[in-house]
Amino acid sequence: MRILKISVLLLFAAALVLPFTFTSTVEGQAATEALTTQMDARLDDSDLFNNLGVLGAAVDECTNPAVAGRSFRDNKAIFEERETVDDGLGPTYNDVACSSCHQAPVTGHVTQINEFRAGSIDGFGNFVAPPGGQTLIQDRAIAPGAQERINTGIDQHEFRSTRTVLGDGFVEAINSNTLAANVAAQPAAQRGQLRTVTVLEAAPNTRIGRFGHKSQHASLLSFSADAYVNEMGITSVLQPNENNILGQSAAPFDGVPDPEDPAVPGFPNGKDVQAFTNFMRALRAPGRGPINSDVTTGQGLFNSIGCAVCHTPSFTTSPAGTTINGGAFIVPAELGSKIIHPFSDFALHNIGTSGGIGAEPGVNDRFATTTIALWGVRTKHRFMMQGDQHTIFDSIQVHAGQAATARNNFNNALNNTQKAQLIAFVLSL
Amino acid sequence: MLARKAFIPSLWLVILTGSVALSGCAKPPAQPIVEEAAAPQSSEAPSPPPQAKEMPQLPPPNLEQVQEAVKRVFKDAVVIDASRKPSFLVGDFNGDSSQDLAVVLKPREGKLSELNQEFPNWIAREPLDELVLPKSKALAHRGASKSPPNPATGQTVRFEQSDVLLAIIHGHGPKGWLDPEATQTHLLRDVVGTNMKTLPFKEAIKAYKGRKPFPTVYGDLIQQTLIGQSGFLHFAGSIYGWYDAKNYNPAAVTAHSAMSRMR
Repeated sequence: MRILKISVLLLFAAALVLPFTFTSTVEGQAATEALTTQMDARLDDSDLFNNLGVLGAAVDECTNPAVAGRSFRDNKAIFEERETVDDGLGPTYNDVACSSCHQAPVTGHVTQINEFRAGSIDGFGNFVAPPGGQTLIQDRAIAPGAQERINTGIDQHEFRSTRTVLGDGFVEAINSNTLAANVAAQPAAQRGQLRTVTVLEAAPNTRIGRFGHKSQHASLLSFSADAYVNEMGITSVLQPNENNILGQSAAPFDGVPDPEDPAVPGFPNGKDVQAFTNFMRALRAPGRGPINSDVTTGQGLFNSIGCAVCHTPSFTTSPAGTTINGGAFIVPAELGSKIIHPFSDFALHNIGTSGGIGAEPGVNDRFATTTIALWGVRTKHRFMMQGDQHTIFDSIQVHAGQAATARNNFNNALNNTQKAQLIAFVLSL
Repeated sequence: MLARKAFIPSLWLVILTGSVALSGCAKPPAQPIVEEAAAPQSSEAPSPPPQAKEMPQLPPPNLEQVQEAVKRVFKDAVVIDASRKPSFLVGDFNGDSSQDLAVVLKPREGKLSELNQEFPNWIAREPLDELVLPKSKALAHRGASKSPPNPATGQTVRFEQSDVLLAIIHGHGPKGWLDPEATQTHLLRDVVGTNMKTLPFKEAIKAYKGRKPFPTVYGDLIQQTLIGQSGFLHFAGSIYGWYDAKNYNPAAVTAHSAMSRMR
């Protein structure tokens, strides 16, 4: 009898304890570190792949040509593919492939290539876009008559350096409210501006922008379609109109019907645009370089003097299963609840380094620019928005405006050893 | 026996209670999670101020204020070169609607090492060497003083006791260069000429209208006569360049400012 009573009591205790043992968090999973790449082109594609989808077989133009959406390697090959006039290249364009700009040291990262933007200032000090309304002046054209050439009256110039797309699938998966909370916690003098933009594939739904030098896109699909038409001149379902040629119609030079990347079964936004998107979503985040004691100390200094206010060290992505992008995308397990270290708040700040091109809707300061993510910065040799600085030291010195306090702290609060440690930390990213 | 009879209902009660507890705490059926639209930032949240169209007017500068600003950046490493007339100018040289200070300096005796410290609080540049003069004509006496790049900062400029320097201290906010936060400084060597004056941006546009080739101009100019030519110092986006009709080299500016794609 006594044994029976004890057994019943144990059963009761187990009934109380077991549910707590197996209860999941609201998100259904604990956050874990995102997979990172060593950014070493000598390594296999698997070093870039974050396991979203399948890695796939090596692509060979003769024996195994790329098929959009089939695998990571297929999508990577399409990201690297050189477009031609028959594909719809131009009439104005900057380069022939995504990987022309996002190439070194591995596909998806950066190059030295800058976009060229221009405009002018009217007599009242207002920014005026060039004829046709587009500030982007494409560097190339498919015919002499299509080449854009500004006149000397369009005298405000700005260059926009290539940003990495490594890890952008994780960035896309950050909840807009997470970005908002981060910015809300910044000191007023350094607080960034988040920009609400339309998700093109879910219009008119909006979301907090995070891609581009002006946070002009919130989804990788929107970003891909934008880059396809602006950098390569290839129209798609989400961007069906060719760029004009400084106000002149591009039609006389445009032999391929728009959209040049049309909707087809299984690809309502176009095969290429979807392949670019899938490739970027499946990319790992940039991994760290060697970490020694100087680097570790430098990270503490980076935080303490205020750099980390805008160069936010960590975010956790939305849980798997979260619907984002205005309802157009559900965060998959490979991207959900992942801790990433972009060292950006994806907010716009005026730090005195922009050329002031653009009067984008929703941006209250034309000199504001989105904090550049520092992950992967150790592979670069030109820094800042315009790519016009050659050393980390000079890059720190040109920080002004909202970053003036952090720069002054670097100059005045650190001794030489500490300054070297902070620079060592930045160059470990 | 009685105890056993009383225990059986208790057993059922315990099992029932346990079941209820279990079902209550069990994982609920999966609910779709939808990212909520982020609340717009409150009106006081976005701190980047709208770009002021006009620079706030400040009273004319006096020497004491200039000395204070110089000390803020350089501590005791330099002195103002009072032999120059003028020895300082103000204007919005970088075009950010905040008044900047340009001041002529000399290294203080015995303080050269501070000027050449490993991590200076300024950006040291030689606009003529970098942007204008072909290397073969670069100031010859500099050849011997060129040092290997500072491994920590990448900077190569080494100042000498005989140097005449122009420091441009960028303003911060409406108080301009008078603001205690205003320390961003470009320290330029060999760019102090004669008849130095500020040429306001709007006047500059009129004065040089139609001139080709011509640099992109962001703000007010420091007009003067240098290397025998009338021209101006101008902010070129991240560095200061020199323009005169004879020596201006747009290719050098372009290359230096990463304005070429260098494909």
